[in-house]
Amino acid sequence: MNMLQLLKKLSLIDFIKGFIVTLKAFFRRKVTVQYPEVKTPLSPRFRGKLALMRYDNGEERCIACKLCSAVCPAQAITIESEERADGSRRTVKFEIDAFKCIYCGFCEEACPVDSIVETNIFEYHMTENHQRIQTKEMLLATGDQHKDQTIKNKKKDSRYR
Amino acid sequence: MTDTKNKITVTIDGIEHDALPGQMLIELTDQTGTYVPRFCYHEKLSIAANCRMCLVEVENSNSALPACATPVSDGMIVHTKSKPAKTAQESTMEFLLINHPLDCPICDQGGECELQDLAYAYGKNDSRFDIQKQTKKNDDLGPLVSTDMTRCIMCTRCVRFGTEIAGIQELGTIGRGESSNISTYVSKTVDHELSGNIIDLCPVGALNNKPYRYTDRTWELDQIESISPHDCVGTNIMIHKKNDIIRRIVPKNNPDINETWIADRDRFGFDGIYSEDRAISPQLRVNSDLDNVKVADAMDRSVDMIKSCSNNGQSIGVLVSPNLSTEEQYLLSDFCHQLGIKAIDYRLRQRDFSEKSDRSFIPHMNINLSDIDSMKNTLILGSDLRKETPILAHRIKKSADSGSSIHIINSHESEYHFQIGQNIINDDWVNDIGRVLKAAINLTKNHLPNNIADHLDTIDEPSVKHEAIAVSLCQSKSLIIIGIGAYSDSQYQIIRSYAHILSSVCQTNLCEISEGSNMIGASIHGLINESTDQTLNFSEIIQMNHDLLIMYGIEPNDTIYQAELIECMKSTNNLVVFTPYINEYFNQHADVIIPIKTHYEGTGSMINLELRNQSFNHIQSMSADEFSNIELLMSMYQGMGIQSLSVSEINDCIQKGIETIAITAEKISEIPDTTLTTFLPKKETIFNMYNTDNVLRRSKPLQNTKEGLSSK
Repeated sequence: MNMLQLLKKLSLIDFIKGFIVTLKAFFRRKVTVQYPEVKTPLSPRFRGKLALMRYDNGEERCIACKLCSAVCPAQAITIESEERADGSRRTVKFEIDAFKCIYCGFCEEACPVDSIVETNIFEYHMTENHQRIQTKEMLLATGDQHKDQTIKNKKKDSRYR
Repeated sequence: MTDTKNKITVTIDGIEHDALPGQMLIELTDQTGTYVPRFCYHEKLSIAANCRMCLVEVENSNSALPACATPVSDGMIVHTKSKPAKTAQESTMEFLLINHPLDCPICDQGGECELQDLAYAYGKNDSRFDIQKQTKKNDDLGPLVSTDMTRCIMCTRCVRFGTEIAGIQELGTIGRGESSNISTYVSKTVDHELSGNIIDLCPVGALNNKPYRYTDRTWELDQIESISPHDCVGTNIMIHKKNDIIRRIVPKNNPDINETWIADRDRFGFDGIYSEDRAISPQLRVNSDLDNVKVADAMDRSVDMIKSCSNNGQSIGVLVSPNLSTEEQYLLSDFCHQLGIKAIDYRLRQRDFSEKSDRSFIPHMNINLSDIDSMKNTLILGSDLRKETPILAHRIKKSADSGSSIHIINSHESEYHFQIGQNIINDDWVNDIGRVLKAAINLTKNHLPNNIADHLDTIDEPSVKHEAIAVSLCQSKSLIIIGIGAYSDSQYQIIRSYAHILSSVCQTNLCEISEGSNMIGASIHGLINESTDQTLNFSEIIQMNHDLLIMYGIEPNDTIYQAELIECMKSTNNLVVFTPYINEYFNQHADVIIPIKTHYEGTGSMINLELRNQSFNHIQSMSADEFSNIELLMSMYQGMGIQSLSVSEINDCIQKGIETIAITAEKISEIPDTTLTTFLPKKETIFNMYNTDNVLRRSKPLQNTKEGLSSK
């Protein structure tokens, strides 16, 4: 028994086994990418930063039904509404606390008018604490900016919904 | 009475229940806790049976029967959840949903909608109709009720409310079949003082709360039980708030007081507390300008003023609102008694103070509010009843509808929604009451003390009308109501003693409507502290030149002596004002302004006209630098170095006070000397129901109604 162990030690067989694993990994295809120069592809179902959408005529979709804030498990959405001068129901305040949001996508599912959507943006940051609150204007701007990509993604996923 | 022979047995879903003959099936299922879906049925309204949602299966009947319109019969076997019943209900729901729009996300009723709830239980997943849905035109019903008639399912609850509860049919059904529509007949607004109740009655979102429109969803609101502070009935309400801000008020069902109804001013009055002229910071007058200061400084200054005045024997006047909580009133009154201040009063609308022992019989009602329904004969003296106490007026209407005769004696015509027996409108109406009394005495052959007999000799002989009223009152179950119109009359004491003697002679019940929401609470201090004989009354207080005048919760507009009070405020050396609101008079004349909380922001209790002590709750958490009204008053006690009772001790005293009135209340049996005249000339006071207190005066929705605009 002792002889066998001594031989194993002297022949460095375990070292060689280990190096073989390393060598195999060295030639295998790489799973990492050179972020941020290179990015991994995203699923159309990817749930990223929230945005508010508009109709093609520029009218905001949101009707202040507050279903998203009701369904939100993290209670990240604060909405205040009133009757606009033209008699329609609109929000006066629509705020999402980005720190609270857990990107579950329930709000998107609850929305009866497809107003609140999750874009595939996952890279955003803030330097001050108060910037975590995203106002209605910011959310609408995000929606405008990523409108085409978001619509494309939703269309791709639509047959599974 | 129904004896046991008349008891019948009905089987509902396999369980036998005892029922009374003539009962409708839905009443029995409600009693036994079996839910049958319904839209048009409402326990306070007549049966229309036009929604067909309550169809149930009854054995030995060819088709499903509406539970709301099917009387029970012995041996009836009912299935509410069987397949035929379910099919009938589901088919009805499918028809109801044909034209109902799918706008639940923007509908304010969403979350508390009867149609929405029942559509979950009985609705199909998708519609079989692909034709265009119908739309309907919206009427403008005024500043209180919003309309979305496309949502209407034609249950006609609002129409029946108009005819049966309000007494004025403001809404009606126009057209037939599919094109039928709920509308005002000749486009006009809904102005009845109870009209806000159609908001609660509407099972869908067709009629809704206009000021609340599109602001919140029901699930966001917190609910607090409270008491409405706008009249002496003590209506029970539910305050719905979000983030410590009142969003709306809905009725709380209390069969003994308001049933399921509340007046519009109870529902929409709260808007006044968010008025822009709320007093926020305490202010002190320094060199003719008002400067913002800390509460402690303002309190110190006012305590100093009180100290110097009371030490030097200078005159101090205290004017208190009759709308305060009993605790506040007790503390204020006890404060004055301990300091020997005799000029304290709360009777802002009383004109005739000729009777000194006025406080011996506190104006109240010696029966319960729910007893009014069963009254057979009622005499209303000097009252715009519908405006003064809408809930009481509704009770009277209920009794009138069940066949009781209502008589009115008043100085001016006012609108009533019930059948009136004898209606005497006369400038010299006080004399008419005397003639009724005379007729009653002739009728009952009662022996009266000489002074009354002598007095009655000076009155004209009764006419047929007066005799008719007297005959009616002498029957059992009769009631005499003295309104605020009489209270504000220059011959109030005579009216009051006539009414009291008439009540004793005919052995009727007596109801005195009091001003403000808690005048009885204020009056009780007279019983608790015995030394009230030498107190000065309101009219005397405002005629004097005071060295210090303290006004607590009142504004010149609250009283009928507006000009005189302003004059008094001008002439006084020091004016300390505790007020929730700032107005121009305070800005000009006040030396110290201390902001106080309104009812909606405080806690306390109030006593309604039937001596029911009810407590109300605060709606907001206070920050550290804010003080409740009780804390402010307690700090005044501390500043003066006198002892005050704790809130629980005060409540004990109040409870004792209520018991004392209930036991010792003796009716007035003397007619005051008519030669005593009041210093103020008789003025016509028009009672405006949305101008009675400082909160209502600032409620935007109410001020935009016809009644609100009429005072401008």
